[in-house]
Amino acid sequence: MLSAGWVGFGADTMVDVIWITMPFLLAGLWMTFKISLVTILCGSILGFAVGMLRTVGGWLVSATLGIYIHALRGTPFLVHLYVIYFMLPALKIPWLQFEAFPAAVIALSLYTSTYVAEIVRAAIQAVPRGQSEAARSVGMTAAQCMWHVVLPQALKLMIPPMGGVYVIIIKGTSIVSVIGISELVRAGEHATQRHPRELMLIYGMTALMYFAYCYPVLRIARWAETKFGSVRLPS
Amino acid sequence: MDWILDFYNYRVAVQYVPEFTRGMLATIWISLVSLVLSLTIGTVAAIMRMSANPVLWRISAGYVQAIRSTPLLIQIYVIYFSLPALPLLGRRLDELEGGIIALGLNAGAYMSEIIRAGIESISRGQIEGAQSVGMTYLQRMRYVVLPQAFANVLPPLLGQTAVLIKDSSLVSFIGVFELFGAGLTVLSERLMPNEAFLTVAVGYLAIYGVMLFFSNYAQRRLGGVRG
Amino acid sequence: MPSETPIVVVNDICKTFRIRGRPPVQALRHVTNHVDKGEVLVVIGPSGSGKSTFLRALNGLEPIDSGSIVIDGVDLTDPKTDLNRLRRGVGMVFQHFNLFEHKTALENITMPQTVVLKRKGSEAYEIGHRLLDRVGIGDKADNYPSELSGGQQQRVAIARSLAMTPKVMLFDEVTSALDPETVGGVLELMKELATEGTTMVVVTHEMGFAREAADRVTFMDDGAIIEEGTPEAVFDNPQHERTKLFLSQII
Ligand SMILES: Nc1ncnc2c1ncn2[C@@H]1O[C@H](COP(=O)(O)OP(=O)(O)O)[C@@H](O)[C@H]1O
Ligand SMILES: [Mg+2]
Repeated sequence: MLSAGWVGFGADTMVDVIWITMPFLLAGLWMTFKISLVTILCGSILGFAVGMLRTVGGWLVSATLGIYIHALRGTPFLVHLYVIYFMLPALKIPWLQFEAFPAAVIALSLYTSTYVAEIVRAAIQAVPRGQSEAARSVGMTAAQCMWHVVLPQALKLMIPPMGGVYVIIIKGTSIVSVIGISELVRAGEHATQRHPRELMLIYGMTALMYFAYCYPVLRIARWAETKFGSVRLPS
Repeated sequence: MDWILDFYNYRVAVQYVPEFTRGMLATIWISLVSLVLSLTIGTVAAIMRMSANPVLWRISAGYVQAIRSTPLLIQIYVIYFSLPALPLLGRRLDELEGGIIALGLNAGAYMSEIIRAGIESISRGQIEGAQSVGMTYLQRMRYVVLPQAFANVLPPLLGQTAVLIKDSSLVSFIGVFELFGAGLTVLSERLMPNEAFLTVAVGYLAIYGVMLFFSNYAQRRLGGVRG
Repeated sequence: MPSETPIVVVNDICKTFRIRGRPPVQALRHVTNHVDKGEVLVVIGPSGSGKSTFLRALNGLEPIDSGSIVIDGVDLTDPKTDLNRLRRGVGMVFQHFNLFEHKTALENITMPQTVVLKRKGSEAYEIGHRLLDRVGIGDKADNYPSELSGGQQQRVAIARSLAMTPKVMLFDEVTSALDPETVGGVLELMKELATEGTTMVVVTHEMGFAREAADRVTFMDDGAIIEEGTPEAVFDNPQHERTKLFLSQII
């Protein structure tokens, strides 16, 4: 390496840089993993509730939730993140004061819920009408029909697009670095400050780590799609 | 009425109208250029993906996988910081160029999937119908495949464009001034996050609303054509 | 009525489908046949016997491995032959209609005329209306395929082929996807075309139609021609065991 004989603190080879930065990047990946896991849980629960309410609720509920979805879909996640991060303190709840982690999870979960809600609605609508008509014809109530006939079939259709949502979340976590969470991108940025001449290497490693996390999820989602069928994930 | 001014001091927001306007125009401009770039890349990638040549096919598939499995922010960093290291240009990419190339490459992968699905959605039977009356390859494309593929593809393409517009906010990370950057300016000068980011949100919603209108309009128009 | 000038001459053609990971399928084994001007040839046989492959080969939709197909003096297997040009002279009607879904019934008929034959719009329009009347759905000119019944769509498809004034018309199980009540009308239309002297090759499971309209019947099984002759000969006095078995199952 040309850099080997260079004066100053940059006298590391590429292998050294990989060796030194790897623990930091892995710590970042661990944070990314934690945030994405908590978010898929919270976001799915919230999204399921919104999607169900939107499907079975009256027009007022449905329209209100429609506005909720459009408002979130129509603005960048970055904006949600800043608004929530700066607004939380105003709620005057002690343990939420300028805490980056809850702000990140709340913002990501709200964002995720819009996707999940759309998937839930599409999956329920994709169950053929004849199924619920048959259920009602044998005397089931609307709730029984939903619980015993429609939802079990719809759930299967929801599984594959949820893989896509999970990948969206993982990629979304990269943005929460701006409010100071030391996830993978942040770890990468720190590393580049120490080894500014190996910028490409470090960002390459970061990208590979995201790839290693996302790609299997996408593959599994594709496999699930051939097995269960799917509804289209709205973009 | 004080609590309103407390929550959102519109007088401050009004002071910054020039910044917000400049930011909005920049966002629209960046999105437009990236859109053209992404449609070009997307079309080429889709054609490569459908080609019988395994090399072309694999390059296109690999490109799409790589983009879909990594965050846009990392793509922006890699392209903005790393491309100049290659002796391609002989000079640094400026922020705007780097940002637009990254956005175009990113959206291009998603566009290519949409375009491919659109072309493949035309049934084999209709193509054979066209063949059976003696239409040439170009005539089949021009009169049978593309008009229908376009109709099938326009709504998801518009949806992806809406995503592109929102994603363009990320180029503020490498110092490009656009709508979100205008919000950052207000935040740093006045320390007023609501006036900064709620205003920005309204700006994005306005663009989104226009997109939604076009999308509905297109769906109605094109939906009508197919009866 | 059939004259002795052959329009279609098929000589010893073979076709094998090879799909990776599956055993190859010999869909056509040394098939030789011919169709004279004005003749109606009906091809029958069990499903999977190669009837569609034979018909699609005549239109150049399915390239063949060996043998030759000559249509009105033009060799279809010659690499120098312009297939698109040749197809103008060979009309094909499909089981699933294959109409252009973004065009109205009338446009389905006029578009190929203007695009392929370069006919003037007004002329194509006139021919289109005349043919829609001819096939009995003059009132559906402005409907899209999705607004038409199967039988109506198939009539449009027939009119689309006729508009190209083909030398020979190929019909591949054109009534198989239709509701029972619309089958009769389409068969009736095909019989009329036959008596008007249209040269036709018809793959069908409608034995009544075959008996009435065919000049000659060919029975195919497992990619080969097993037996052929007049409808009376094939239906009333079949010579081969496989023919007898097939006819006993279908009637
Ligand atoms: N495109 C194809 N690829 C592979 N095999 C095919 C294809 N088309 C037809 N075959 C096979 O060739 C044989 C003859 O098919 P076909 O001509 O469609 O029969 P028919 O029309 O008499 O029912 C069948 O075994 C069928 O599975
Ligand atoms: Mg067949």
